[in-house]
Amino acid sequence: MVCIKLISSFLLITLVSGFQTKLKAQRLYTHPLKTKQAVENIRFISRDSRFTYFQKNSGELSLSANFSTRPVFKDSSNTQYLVSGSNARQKLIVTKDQNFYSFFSPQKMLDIYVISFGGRDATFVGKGRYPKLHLNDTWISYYSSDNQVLHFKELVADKRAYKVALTAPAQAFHMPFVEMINDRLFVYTDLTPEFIPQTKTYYPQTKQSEIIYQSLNNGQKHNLCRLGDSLIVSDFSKTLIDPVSSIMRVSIQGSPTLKNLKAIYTSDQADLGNIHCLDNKVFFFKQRNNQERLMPLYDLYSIDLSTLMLKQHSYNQNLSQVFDMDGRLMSILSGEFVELLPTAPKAVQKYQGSSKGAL
Amino acid sequence: MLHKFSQNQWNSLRKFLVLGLCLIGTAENCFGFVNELNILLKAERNRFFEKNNFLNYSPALKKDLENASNIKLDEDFLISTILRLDPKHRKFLKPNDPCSIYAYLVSGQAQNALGEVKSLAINYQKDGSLKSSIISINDFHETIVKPQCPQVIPFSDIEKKQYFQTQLTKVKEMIPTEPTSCENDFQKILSSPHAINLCHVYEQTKKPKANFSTFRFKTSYLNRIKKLLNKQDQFFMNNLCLSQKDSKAFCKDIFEANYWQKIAQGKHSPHITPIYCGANSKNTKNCLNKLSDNPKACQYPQYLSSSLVPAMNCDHLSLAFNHSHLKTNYPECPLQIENMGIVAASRLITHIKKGEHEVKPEYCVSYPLSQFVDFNFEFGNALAWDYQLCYFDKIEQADKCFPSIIGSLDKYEYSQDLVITKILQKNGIISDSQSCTAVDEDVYNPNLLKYKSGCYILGQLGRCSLTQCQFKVLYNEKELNIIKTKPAQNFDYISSTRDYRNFSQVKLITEQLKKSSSEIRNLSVLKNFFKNHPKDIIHGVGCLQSILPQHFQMNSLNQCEPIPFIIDGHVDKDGTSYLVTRTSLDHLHAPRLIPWQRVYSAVKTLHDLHPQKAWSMNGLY
Repeated sequence: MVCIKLISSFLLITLVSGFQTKLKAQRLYTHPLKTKQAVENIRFISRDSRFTYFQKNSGELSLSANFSTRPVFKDSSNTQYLVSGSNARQKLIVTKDQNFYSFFSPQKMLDIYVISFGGRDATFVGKGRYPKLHLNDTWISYYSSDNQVLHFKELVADKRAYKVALTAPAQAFHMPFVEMINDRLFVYTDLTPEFIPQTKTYYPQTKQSEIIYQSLNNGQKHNLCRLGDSLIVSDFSKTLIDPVSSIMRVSIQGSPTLKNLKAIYTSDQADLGNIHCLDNKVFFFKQRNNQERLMPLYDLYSIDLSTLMLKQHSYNQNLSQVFDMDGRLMSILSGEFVELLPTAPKAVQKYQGSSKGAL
Repeated sequence: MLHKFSQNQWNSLRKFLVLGLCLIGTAENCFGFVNELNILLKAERNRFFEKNNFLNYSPALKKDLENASNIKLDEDFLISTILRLDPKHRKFLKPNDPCSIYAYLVSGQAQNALGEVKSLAINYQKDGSLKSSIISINDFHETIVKPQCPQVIPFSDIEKKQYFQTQLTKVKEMIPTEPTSCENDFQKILSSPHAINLCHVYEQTKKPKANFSTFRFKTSYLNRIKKLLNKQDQFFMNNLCLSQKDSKAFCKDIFEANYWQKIAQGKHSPHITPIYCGANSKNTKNCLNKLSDNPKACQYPQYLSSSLVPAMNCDHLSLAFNHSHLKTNYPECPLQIENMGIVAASRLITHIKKGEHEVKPEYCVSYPLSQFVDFNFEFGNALAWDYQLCYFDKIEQADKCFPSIIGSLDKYEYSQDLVITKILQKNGIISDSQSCTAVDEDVYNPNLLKYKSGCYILGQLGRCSLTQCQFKVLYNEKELNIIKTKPAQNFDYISSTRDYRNFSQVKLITEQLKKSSSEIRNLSVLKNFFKNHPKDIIHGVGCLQSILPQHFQMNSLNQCEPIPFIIDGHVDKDGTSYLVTRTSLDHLHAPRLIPWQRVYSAVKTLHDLHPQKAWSMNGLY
């Protein structure tokens, strides 16, 4: 406990004094997705648009590529599929929800499969939530919400597998974030029984967990992502009283225990957070300035890890989610999925695939 | 006794005098007559007594008024009454509504220079000549009031059994739930001829007991009324009858005052208190003060478990509760019910059926389940409930199953303990007179004598969930293993295919509980819905990632975690409309204020994904 307090105190001092960023505007415009299919049927499009996964109401997930369409899965009607990948572009994760309209729960266990990137042959991985590919798509992690256990499974070679039990109370509906540094060091987010968020490392060889960062209070949330040699840990508030917002970075090479976190952004505003890492930038939602409101509004910002430049990307648009689909930065606006691009919509007649991604 | 008049009060009284003079038929004399207050008061007393003494020699009977025309109240009598109007009753009198004056005159509250108004002077024309006469208040009601204002009832009816209770219920149904229409709604309450009668009775109950005998109501009647009123009723009656609040102040108290202080003062839903303060009533006041002073205290309330935390802070909760009217007087544990469709359906059913039940907190799983199961069984949709307890029937060589809920609920046929009892009786393990009792495994102590014999079901009462509810059946200390559970519980909350749309919960609830439904596709429609149906609710299903982005993050295209929600009010602030929303993950007693744009976005995404493009946000009325 003393150790945790020391870590938190140290970080707080670092947070207060440890970063300086400049603010610059770089507007990103929302563009409707231009696709041959209805957007709601699409589950994944490669950045060069060479292949598309889409689903039908009949319960089929299909792959459209090279002017032909072939099924990947066939299941009962209204089965919902989601497809996601990583920047390694070796494999894709497919989750299957057969009870999308008949069993509503954010703790519902989904069937998790992996397929090769652009392929159709699926391998069942397990039942759980929040799957993520790691280490050049050779590992996958997912969360069993029924017993609060994180699973780490190797997808090639030895097919090693590890389990880590979390301490998060069930009513937090905890959504753990996971990063694998290598096959000997995992990082994940957890909660104490008192709902205080923790970021922990796990050493599979010794089966030991260690706290690398803990928030001072409950009501906060942690998120992780990785950009090259840097591990990003964020700490944002879920509540509006005494909010603390921070984004920290630790060099994987420079700090083998990952404890040497350094703040790259701090604020005492009630930022939304919801960070997403792409192209050496950490995207996140920041509270709109100078607004005394019942509930804050947010704009999309990013911090460039090379320059630590803070850039504002959206203005008065009420965005709250950001993610990427094979390098294309995506969000949702008034219920419709949109792509975020630096050019104004009128200038874009047709989506041009770019090998460098959208930004 | 004449009330002290301030200049303001006098000015506001003038308009009633104008009405009074209009009723008398001498409006042109009005302002010359009321020039100076002192002159008026003196003149009023003199003229009143003079006329009263004169007219008492020739009181009119009902039959005297037959074929009479142009009947008017005598100006001196009316002015004498209006001058003695208690300021707190002034709000019941409407200058443009003669019936409001009549209701006041016959209510038993009106006073003139003689005291309580028991008779009135009238002027009328009969047989070609103008006549004046005194008439009893009952005859006045029969001959003059009743034909013009049939809704006004005489004083003699007020004391009739059930009058107070019936009218109180009706008037309470008119309590404003919409800030925008609150002032109009308050005026409607005041316009009800029953409001002034209720106040008459209520004011008498607030007087010291020793004075009861001096009133026109029987002591036993007043005592009965006193017992009838709970703290919330008393708050409402105090506001309506004993205060001089105008409609603005009345509405401010309903929608802006600190909710926790309102509970502390007995003004509002006491059933919320144990959820935030625990069952120990000794600490309640301190606890409510803490909730008022420390907004953080509501985010992780000690007694509010089994739902999404952090909840909103106490200040925002107070605001949400002030604008909320969903029926919530029962316990609930959403997390343990697991399928959020069941949580939503049971909330809708309980609200529509106006369920207000005294249920112990430990039944927080079994009570909502019982609402869901009963409704679906009653309306022929038993397939919606698959949770069953089964045993192997040796004669039929097959599993035999009975529907059950988890946990136990007193005298409820699908209660787990009753279903287990039935199975053991059918298998001849216990006799028809024996039964099994549910015992929390933490309470069970095999060393106690009472557990040495008989049938006990050991489990985690109030803590187990639908898919993970382990229990042991012990009979005479021996564990029985003949019962298996069948925990499936899948059903369509909203229709997902054309074939089964008749059996979606939403459709079943709307049709079988005889409600109408209207799509809510934009904010104007939502606001109009609450304006036109202030007691009703809006329900829907939307994507969690849009409704609660601070809790749930999105990471792939068309990702949507459908979650049902209920909206029962809205707060307009900072140019934004915040909807008082309970997602099924939220505790029944912990709503959230969600901006309209987020709710719309959540519903729109699900609409686009839906096979029939169904719009899932609807008003139920």
